[in-house]
Amino acid sequence: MSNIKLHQAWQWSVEHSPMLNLVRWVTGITRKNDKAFALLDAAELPARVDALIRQTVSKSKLWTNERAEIARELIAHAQDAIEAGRTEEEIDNGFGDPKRIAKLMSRSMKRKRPLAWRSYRNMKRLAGSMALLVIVSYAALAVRYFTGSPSIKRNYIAELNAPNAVYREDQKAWKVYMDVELQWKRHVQPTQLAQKERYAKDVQDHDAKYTESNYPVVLDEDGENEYPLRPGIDLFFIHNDLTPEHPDYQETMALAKAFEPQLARVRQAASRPVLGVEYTDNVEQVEIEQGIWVYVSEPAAEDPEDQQSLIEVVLPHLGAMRKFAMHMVIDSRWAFEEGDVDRAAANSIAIAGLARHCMQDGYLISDLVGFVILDSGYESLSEQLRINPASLTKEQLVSIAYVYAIAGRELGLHLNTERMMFDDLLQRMYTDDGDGQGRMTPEGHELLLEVGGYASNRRKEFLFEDAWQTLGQPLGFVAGNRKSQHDQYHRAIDLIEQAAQGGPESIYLVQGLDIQVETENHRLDGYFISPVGVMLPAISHAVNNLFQIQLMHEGFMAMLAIETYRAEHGQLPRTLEQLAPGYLPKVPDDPFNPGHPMQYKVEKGGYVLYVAGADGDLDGGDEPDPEDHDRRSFFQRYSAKHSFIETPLGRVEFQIQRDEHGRVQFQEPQGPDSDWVLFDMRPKPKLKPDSESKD
Amino acid sequence: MKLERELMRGAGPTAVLKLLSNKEMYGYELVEALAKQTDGVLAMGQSSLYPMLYNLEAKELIEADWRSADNGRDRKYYALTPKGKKKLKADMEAWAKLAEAMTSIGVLKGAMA
Repeated sequence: MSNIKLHQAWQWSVEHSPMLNLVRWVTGITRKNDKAFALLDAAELPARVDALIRQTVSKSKLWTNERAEIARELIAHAQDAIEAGRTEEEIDNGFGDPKRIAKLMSRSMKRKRPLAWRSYRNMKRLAGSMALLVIVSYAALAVRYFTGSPSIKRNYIAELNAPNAVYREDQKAWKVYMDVELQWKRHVQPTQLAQKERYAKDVQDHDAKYTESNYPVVLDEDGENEYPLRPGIDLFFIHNDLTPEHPDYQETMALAKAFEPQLARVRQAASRPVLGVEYTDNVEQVEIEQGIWVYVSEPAAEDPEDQQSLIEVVLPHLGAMRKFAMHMVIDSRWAFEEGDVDRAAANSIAIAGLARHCMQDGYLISDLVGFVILDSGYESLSEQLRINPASLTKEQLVSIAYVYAIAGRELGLHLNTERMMFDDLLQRMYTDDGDGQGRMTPEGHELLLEVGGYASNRRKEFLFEDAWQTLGQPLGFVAGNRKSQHDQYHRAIDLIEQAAQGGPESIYLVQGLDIQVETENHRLDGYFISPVGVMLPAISHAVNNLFQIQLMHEGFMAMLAIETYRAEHGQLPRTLEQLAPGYLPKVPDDPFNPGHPMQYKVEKGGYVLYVAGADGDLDGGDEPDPEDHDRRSFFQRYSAKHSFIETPLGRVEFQIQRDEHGRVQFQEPQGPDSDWVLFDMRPKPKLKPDSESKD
Repeated sequence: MKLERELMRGAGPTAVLKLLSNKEMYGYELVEALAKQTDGVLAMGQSSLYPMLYNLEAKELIEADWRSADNGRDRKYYALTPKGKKKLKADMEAWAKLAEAMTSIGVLKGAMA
């Protein structure tokens, strides 16, 4: 028997050699029954029996050789029956249904096939079952996804407006600001547009060239003086760089003077307790005169379902407030020149008020605008005091110190509105399962793409990726679920607030977060998109700006204390310590040089207030070369003794070092070998170096 | 009398193994033997027999070999393998126990009844 088995094995392996298999496969597809039918032809069975066997063979789903085997066996069986004296009819009756026999024989014949074939078949079946399971599960999820819809319950716009309800109209500044902005658009902007048109013509008529500071310049009619190729009003407001030889000088100055009564209204409004914006999504830009557009707002709808998301609430007041602050900086310079120190002091106080109002808004962008405005107040007043040290009375200095101290209390990152904006997006994107959980909806996904700036151009460009996103939505991995998104975002904002409150040493917290946001945005470029990725700002710059302005603020308060001391004693204090606590609550610290105070150096009848700067050591109050470096040091250079930080979006590894006393060390490169001079109050005769030579 | 399908499914293979334990047999021969020796009780047509034979072959209980018969025609002879012999022995013991059990509860008429 074993010889027979060996013979069979050998025969099978020959018959199934790869080449033969290939030939058989090709011929087998087209002529599966040839071999079996040849045997039947040779057997010459009675017609009915022959037909039954042919049918059986044809209906079997087997390889050519197996069909032949079945035919051979059934032929032998029929021949034996005939030999035993059975009639054609008897054989026919006993045969059974050919289709059924073919099925049974095929099934059992396949069991005899090699193990490799049977394993392959089982794997195919398993894969098929799994594919089916996947398809069925996906279909169920898809139905669940496409039938989900968000339920918009909270009226965030109303919540945002609620705190203003307790104030009277005359306590709110916003409406005054917006009205002055309207006056500006009506009375100043037409001239600005006319100037712009003139300059478009100038570009054609003159050979424009570029100066070192990158302004295009043209020569005046005599060909003697160059003036920057920008409308006078632009230079006045944006660059504060309008010189008397500029052709628009007279016109622009006259216009600015004529605007003075409006500026007086802004000064008055800036002293009001609150900004009091009535936030609404219902804002339209209307063209009141040709080329002059103003924002016209109506109250938001009462039902949040009828409102747009909070992200659609625009903040036109910010631009206006920034412009007023710039105007006041320039107006202060004139006021000092004219000897109208009261007006200069009033401007300084109003700038602090504008900054304070900005920082009440609760938006990150409003905080940043507030910082810039406050900073312009520091710069403006310190410049005037440097030129005319005794120009302000002690009382005026104290009043200014008072309002700046109040504005300084607002210095921070106010992210409440950012939080509300995010939560509002969530309620407009996800279903609400009642326990904070929910899943992304088709409408939500549309909104997400819109917010992420995906809606228009990129959509067409990345059709495949969007198709992938659409397919992935029901699975929830594209946009995460409501709770995880909510938790991630709020934990990230907590972290930002913690860093903002923690001071320079904690800036590493948000640096880690920045890396994660970048990663998240990178995912956004691919197949993934999530509300957190879209909405979480890259924040470490904002925190850095906060620390810078906080330090500037401390320097400014120290400067005011010094000036007050000088106004009272007729001379400068010898040290900062002399000022505390009478003029200053305490001597400020140098955050770049832990354990040391802010530096104060009396020189040439004036003084310098400075800190160590990013290199962490004192260099006698020398400033960095402005060609190579920012005057202000970046707090990003801070590092602390953590090898990693867990952010809500994941873990980030990095190096933070401290010295043997546990003090934070600065990473290499350490920044320029110089100090950060906060206020250089050494007297200089005139405003601008270039106007010195002309006088 | 014909057996119900379930009973046939259990009895058929054992009967075929038993017949093959005596000698090698070809398909038609098996059909005839089953019909005659069991008085038609275990009779089965080719539609049942050949699938059953292929199954037993796949389980390596029997093996087949085409050979020329005395009449000059080719026939496929089936024979029991050693594994088949063991299986038959086990099946026969099981059937004996089953018969004993059936007898004890009076389904089969035996010495005890």
